[in-house]
Amino acid sequence: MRYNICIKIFLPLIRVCIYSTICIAQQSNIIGTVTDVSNKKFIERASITVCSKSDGSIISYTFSDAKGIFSISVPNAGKDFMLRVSMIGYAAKEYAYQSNIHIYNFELTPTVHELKEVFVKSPPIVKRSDTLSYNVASFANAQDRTIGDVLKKLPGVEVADDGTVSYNGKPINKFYIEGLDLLDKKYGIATNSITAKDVQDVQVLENHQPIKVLKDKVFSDNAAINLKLKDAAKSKWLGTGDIETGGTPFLWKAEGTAMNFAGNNQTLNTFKTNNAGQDVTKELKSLSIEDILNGSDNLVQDQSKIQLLPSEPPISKERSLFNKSWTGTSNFLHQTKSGVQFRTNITLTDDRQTSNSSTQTNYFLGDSTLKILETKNSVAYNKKLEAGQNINVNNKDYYLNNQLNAQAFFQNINVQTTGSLPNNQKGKIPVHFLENDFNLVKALGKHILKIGVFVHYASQPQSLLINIPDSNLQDQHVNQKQLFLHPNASYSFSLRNISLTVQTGIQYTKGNYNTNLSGFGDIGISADSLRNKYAYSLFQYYILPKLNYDKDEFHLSLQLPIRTFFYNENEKDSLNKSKENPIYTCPQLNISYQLNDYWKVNLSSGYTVNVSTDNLPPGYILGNYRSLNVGANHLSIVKQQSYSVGATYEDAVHELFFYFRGSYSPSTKNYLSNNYFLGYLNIINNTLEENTAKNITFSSRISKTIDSWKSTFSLSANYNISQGYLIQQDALLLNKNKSVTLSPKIDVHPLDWLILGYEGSFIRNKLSVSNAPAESPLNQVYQKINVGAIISKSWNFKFTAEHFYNQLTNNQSHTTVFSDFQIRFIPKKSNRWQYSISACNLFNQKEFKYSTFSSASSMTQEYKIRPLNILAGVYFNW
Amino acid sequence: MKRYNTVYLFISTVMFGVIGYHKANAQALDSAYIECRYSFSYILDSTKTESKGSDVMSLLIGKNISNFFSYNQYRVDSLVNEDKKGVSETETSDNKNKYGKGGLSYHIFQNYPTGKISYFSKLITKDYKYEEDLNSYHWNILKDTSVILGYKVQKAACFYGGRNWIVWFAPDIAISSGPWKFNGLPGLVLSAEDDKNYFNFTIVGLNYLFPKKPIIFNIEGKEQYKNIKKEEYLKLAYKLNTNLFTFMKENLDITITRADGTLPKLRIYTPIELY
Repeated sequence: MRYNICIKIFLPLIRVCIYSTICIAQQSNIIGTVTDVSNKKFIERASITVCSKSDGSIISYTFSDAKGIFSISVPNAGKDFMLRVSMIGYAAKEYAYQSNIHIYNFELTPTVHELKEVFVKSPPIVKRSDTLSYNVASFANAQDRTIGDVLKKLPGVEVADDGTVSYNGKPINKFYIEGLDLLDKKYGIATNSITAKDVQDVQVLENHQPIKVLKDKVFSDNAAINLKLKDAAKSKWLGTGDIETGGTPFLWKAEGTAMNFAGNNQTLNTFKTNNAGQDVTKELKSLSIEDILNGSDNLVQDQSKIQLLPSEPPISKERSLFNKSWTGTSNFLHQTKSGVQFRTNITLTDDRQTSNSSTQTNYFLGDSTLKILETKNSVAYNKKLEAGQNINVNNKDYYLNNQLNAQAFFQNINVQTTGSLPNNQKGKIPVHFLENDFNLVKALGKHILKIGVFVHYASQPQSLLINIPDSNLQDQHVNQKQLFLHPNASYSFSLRNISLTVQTGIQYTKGNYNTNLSGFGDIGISADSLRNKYAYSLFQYYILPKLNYDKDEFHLSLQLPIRTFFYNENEKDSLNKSKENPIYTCPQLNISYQLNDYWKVNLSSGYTVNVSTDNLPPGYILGNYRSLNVGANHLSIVKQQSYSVGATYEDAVHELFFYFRGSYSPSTKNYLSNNYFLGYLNIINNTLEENTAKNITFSSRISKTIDSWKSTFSLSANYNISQGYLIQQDALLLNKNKSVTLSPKIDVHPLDWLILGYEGSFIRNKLSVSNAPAESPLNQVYQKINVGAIISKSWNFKFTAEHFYNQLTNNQSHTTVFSDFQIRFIPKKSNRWQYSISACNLFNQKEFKYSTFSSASSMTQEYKIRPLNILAGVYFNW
Repeated sequence: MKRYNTVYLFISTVMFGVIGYHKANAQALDSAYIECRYSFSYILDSTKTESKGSDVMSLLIGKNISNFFSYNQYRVDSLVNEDKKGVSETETSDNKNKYGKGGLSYHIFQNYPTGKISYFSKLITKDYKYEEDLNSYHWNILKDTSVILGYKVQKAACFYGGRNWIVWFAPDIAISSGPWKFNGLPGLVLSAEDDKNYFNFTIVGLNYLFPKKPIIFNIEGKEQYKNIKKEEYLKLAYKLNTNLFTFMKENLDITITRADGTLPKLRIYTPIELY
């Protein structure tokens, strides 16, 4: 060993000596070695340059060999020279050349990362065929915590208040994380949990067909979003925690997330609680309503007949929410090697909400107006458990999806009302359901077979107790059960550009209503009518041929469904059968054409017939203390025509996006809504009488990003006219509602440290009711200013001011200004920790007032607002 | 400090190991710790100086070996490979056009094997490889200095491959490598251009890699290639680019003729290297 070292060190030295003797004679050559000072090892391929002392220019150079030895010639001219020795990974050294020294043994010291890095900037948006990639780093700033904060800023992408993500005005159909669909329709959990710094790109997959069997066979108009995570964020546990406290009164907020995205396994778990007015249930909503395979065929809404809570004000829910909320979600996805996906989603919520509001409602009764004043103090206790289990296989041969959902929802509501008719209402309004959706799509060459079975069973054992002073206690029990079954099968065949689908199915609805209302005063209704013992079943059969034609940039789809139905009803043990089996055809036509790289136009028109069982039970059901619903004893049938045209312009290179859409939809209903007021009691009835209504809408949005300013500008405009008939106090009224909305939005990032945002909406509403004196239009203005400043890497603050101007009546208006302030501190050493102080409602506003019109009535409402709240806390992520 | 280095080394080895397991379908030759990007513009037809093509090139620098290839092509290849694995639901398509514009197909390895340059490229359907000496440049260092990408650079000239090249290298980046085949200077070549302005390489980015990236044969994961001499390769490439149809006839036994019986002609080809 020692011998080896001797050889290693001495042999080169002996060689150096031999060289040197040669060199002395030539005078112009120098020789030497280059070694690592830390381990004394020789360095290979170090460069040795002879430089001019005056300007540093290189005169000659060489490299050390495998033994660390070099030899280099130096010109004899009498200039001053420097010897420069450098090697990547070591600090370069310079030595003054002395003409009398011919052997130099250089020692270099290792360093790390001595080079100045110049990163190649990814362009902010890259378009590749149908995929747009937004580079997150180009759009995010220090104030953006979650990817949801960044999504809002991407040109072409809109995030609605409820969290729905749209691309060019159309809601997305899938939200993927690394190509996997972990959260299905509840993707709000992801946008609010995944931190922006973990995401590399947001990809928009245009015309996304999520079912591989149908790819290139069934055209999709909707886009999907995929989050591409940074490599460093994959296959490890990521999480965030946020704990805040403050006053007044004592406020708390605690949130935690833990997630792991590792190839074929993904999990995302959240826990949230607060009493600080933050709506924890917001992100748990199902967002893309459209079902990709079945459209709205299986959309069942279990509506309660009992409605106690006042409508919510048009301000962010946080302002008027007085709550104590807990929620937790757990989501798992596992994909086997053979491509089978198993997914489980569980959500648990425990929520107590109180609200305080005053309402003045004016009903136009033809020749007079009925005014009702109410001040409501309500407390709602909500407990909800939702569980979903999904099995999915999605490959080129077949698609299999089975989704099982269960919900147990308990809602207890207490409402104290003072005003025109003081009273106290107590409701228990649970809604439980169990549903299963099975779909199988199989490709056999050019043929596609689809089988679907959807079952939904809901149970709503509800009760309502109303205490009006000096009256009897009103007690109502409603036991409502409903089963919906929809087996269907379809066959598609595609040839070149044409695909033909024929679908057939049965929609079977079976319902049971058992209600009993006691203690109701004498208003000339027989006691028997205050009870329902009603069962019905509705069979709807349909056959639906569908034609799709796709050629290059032209897409056409035509549907010609033929429907028929019959129903049975069983009221208090007497059986009725429908006598007629009407047959409807409901054609639908959709055309879209990509004119060039930028412009795309689409046209659609259709005719639908909607048969509903909502108003079937013939007896009286109390909705709340002043509304009594009477069943119609017939099916509600709405026939609607619709025509729409639209155009989109999309220039990803110049980041300019535009769309325009116009639609006209006249409809015919077989019933007229009939409101009759008996004192304050509104008896709601549906009168069998054919009548028409129509709706016209124009909407448009333009958005543009200017890179050099890092700013996005957008302007949306909306115009809507709707008109319809109703009967109020035995008078037939025609009501027309017009509204215009203009919404500008600007996000500017003029300096690296400054972010400015403005958004506004200017709304004008006009209601006219036949016979009634013309109401003057109501104007509403909403404006919001955001100022964000990143003072240093550690400090940033955000200020928000919201201004509302609401015209209440002809000569009354209400102006409110809300403002919030937030300051965040991110310690220099670690950006995993952030400290924040936030103050909401700085001006301590107490109330919010606004007016709205609905068909033949106007309403002025006043809500109690959360006072000035201050929260301080710590946020961390790992 | 030393302990940290050991930990760092351990972590990077583990991480590298994981990544290597997925991506390397051939043995890693070296591991790159610096990546440079160059924009490359090249003339398509020397009779029309305005007809230029462009690509983004990547230079991976390892301790011993460096690898130069088209970043655009690499990106397309990785997307295609990703699809082939069936992992990426979002990028599936049998159609390569979907992945956007690819790039030049060659890969150049400097100092692999030791003292040599290996040049891999695909011509029509086959992959070819030739080797040449690493130190075949006779650099003439000139006095002019300038600044590129914040680095002080010095001018150097050489005659190589039938063209006069002017390059700018950074003495402060003590890496004797550069774009294409350039090497042998006491600093990294940041920019290179021939005297006719037909070809230009200019650096646009430089960064350290963490974790280190393996340097592997990555020509669509193929290790099957035909070894030929450099002169043979240049002749073949010339033939292919000037008259594909003659090439196909001679090499693939496929004859394509125009209606009048003559072979169709292709555009005028300007190779970067003349023989």
